[in-house]
Amino acid sequence: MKRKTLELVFLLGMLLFFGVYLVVGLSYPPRPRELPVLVSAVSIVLVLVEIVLTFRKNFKELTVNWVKVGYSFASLVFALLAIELLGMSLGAALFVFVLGWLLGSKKKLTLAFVAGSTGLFVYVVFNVLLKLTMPIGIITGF
Amino acid sequence: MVLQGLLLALSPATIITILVGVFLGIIVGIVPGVGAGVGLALLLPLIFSAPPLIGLMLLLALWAADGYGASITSILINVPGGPGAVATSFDGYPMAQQGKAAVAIGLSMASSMVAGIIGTVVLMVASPPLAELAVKMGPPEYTVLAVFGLTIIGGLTSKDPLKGLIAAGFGLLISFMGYDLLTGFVRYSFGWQHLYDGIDFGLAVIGIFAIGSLVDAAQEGGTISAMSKVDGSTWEGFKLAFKKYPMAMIRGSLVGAVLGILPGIGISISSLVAYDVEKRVSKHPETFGKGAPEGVIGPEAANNSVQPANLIPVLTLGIPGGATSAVFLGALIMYGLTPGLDLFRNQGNVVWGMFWGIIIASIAYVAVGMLFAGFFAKVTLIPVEYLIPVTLVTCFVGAFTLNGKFPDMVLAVAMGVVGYLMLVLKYPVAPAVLGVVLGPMLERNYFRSLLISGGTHAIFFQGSIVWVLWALTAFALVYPYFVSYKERKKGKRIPIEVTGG
Repeated sequence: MKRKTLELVFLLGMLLFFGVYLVVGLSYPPRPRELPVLVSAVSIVLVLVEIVLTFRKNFKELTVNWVKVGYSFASLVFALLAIELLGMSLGAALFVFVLGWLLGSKKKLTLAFVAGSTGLFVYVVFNVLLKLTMPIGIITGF
Repeated sequence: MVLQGLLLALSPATIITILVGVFLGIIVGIVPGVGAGVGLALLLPLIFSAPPLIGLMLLLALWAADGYGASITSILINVPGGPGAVATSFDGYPMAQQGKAAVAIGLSMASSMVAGIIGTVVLMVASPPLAELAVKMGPPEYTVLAVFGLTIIGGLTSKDPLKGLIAAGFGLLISFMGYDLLTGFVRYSFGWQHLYDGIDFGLAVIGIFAIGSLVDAAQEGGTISAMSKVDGSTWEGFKLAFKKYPMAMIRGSLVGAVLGILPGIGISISSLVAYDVEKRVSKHPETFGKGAPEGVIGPEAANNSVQPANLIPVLTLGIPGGATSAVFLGALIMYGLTPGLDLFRNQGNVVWGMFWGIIIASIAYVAVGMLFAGFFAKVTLIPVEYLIPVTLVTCFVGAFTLNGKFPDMVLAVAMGVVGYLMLVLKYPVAPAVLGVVLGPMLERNYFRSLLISGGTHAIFFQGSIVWVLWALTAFALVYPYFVSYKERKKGKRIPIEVTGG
């Protein structure tokens, strides 16, 4: 995707975000809406100005590896599912392995060791030592 | 009492306690989401049987070292270990990318030590009068203070202020989610019960800041250090701070000490203010965001002098300035020590022992830090395919531990997408973070002021403190233009770059 297109897509996303805040905010009683409506209205104006400026600007193209970016965010979503189903320790270990593999790790055994150690570290430090409640897996029950 | 306190602080038992506390503080500081507050809360039941000074020193040493620990991940992998370390990453991380991670840690160590000492001296000397000043700050003063805080955006985004303001608007609106604090009206939850309590500031930092930059590092591949080696040493950074930037350490420490006294202002704002101050006074503002040493020193000094300053309202008035000081207040009460003048009169030894103990802790974390700093710096040489997934796990853990809720992890990922886009499209992230911090403070105090005044806005222009704050706000707004005008008159144009994440 070209830089200018991405800039515009992002700005349109922001415009939508601020627009929703403004429209929803207008339905609230006076006090709770005062500052959100003011801030969203001002932000909309700023975004519109930035859109106009974006059309006039020349941008240096981005050098982003979008495949790796896609892998990273897809892995983050996968991690959420894995943690929900397997619990924090196992889900974290699986996530580390999957993302590491997608990012191009060639040493699978090392990666498996790192993933396993991470899961164990999370369990020992947060569950056992700090006694913090971590997400419990639906399937595993721990 | 002063000397007796010093002798108590120098006893072997106290020294060992301080070293243990410092070690634990660095550990909790490193993990995002698990800050000093959690550390103190976990230690609270364990110190009950210990003598007051020993128990309290363990807590204070942990608290003191937390700021330094939080800066380590901020510098190495651009993941602030706590809200106070956000500003440290603006220049600390670029230094790590240039292979100067060890130097940056050394700068952080030196400024943290100096700030701990300066902050404690301020605590020793100025506790009663400063506490009185803090009490005089009412809702109108806090409202204007929040406005002053927002003027920092100008300093953080001088190349493209429009993008900075859009980012700030985004942050402010995020902060308005959930219960309206005065009316109880639920806003912008979109029917999702989880948003009733709004979005935690720490969550915004993890999502927008940490996840976004980690994904960026992942796609670049290789190692964090672009040089694939670590140049310089921690000792070099430590010496550099004293040799070339002593004033930056003092300025940052004073910013932290002053802002730390005000209950509720907190560590995050003071480090951003200190960063802004350093950029404004620098002769080379264009180097900020690209690895300027002062960009590490200022925020680090501020966030470490906040801790002793936070103690001023706690010890003199029993008013905690934040969650961590609230836990510490609980510890004082647990020992039967009631804050106020009587505490200084009847338990002077313990109080002065604590003061000296913080100074010793400030020196101790340099010693402990030196031992491990070389090891920490090598983290930047780990290939990203191992480092980034493991660090993202700490982000998940941090997001979850904030409120113990799974949806927070979902929100962190969603905000990570926004944070990543902001990063690649050169939207400064700092104003968004600032907006999330200042939004609730601004709104709550704005409406409280109007309730007090019966709806008239004249209240924001009454009283000397308010006027001082307005003057500071005006100064912060005008100063960059004044400098630019002066330079133009000299015929020398200083280019100012976008910084602040």
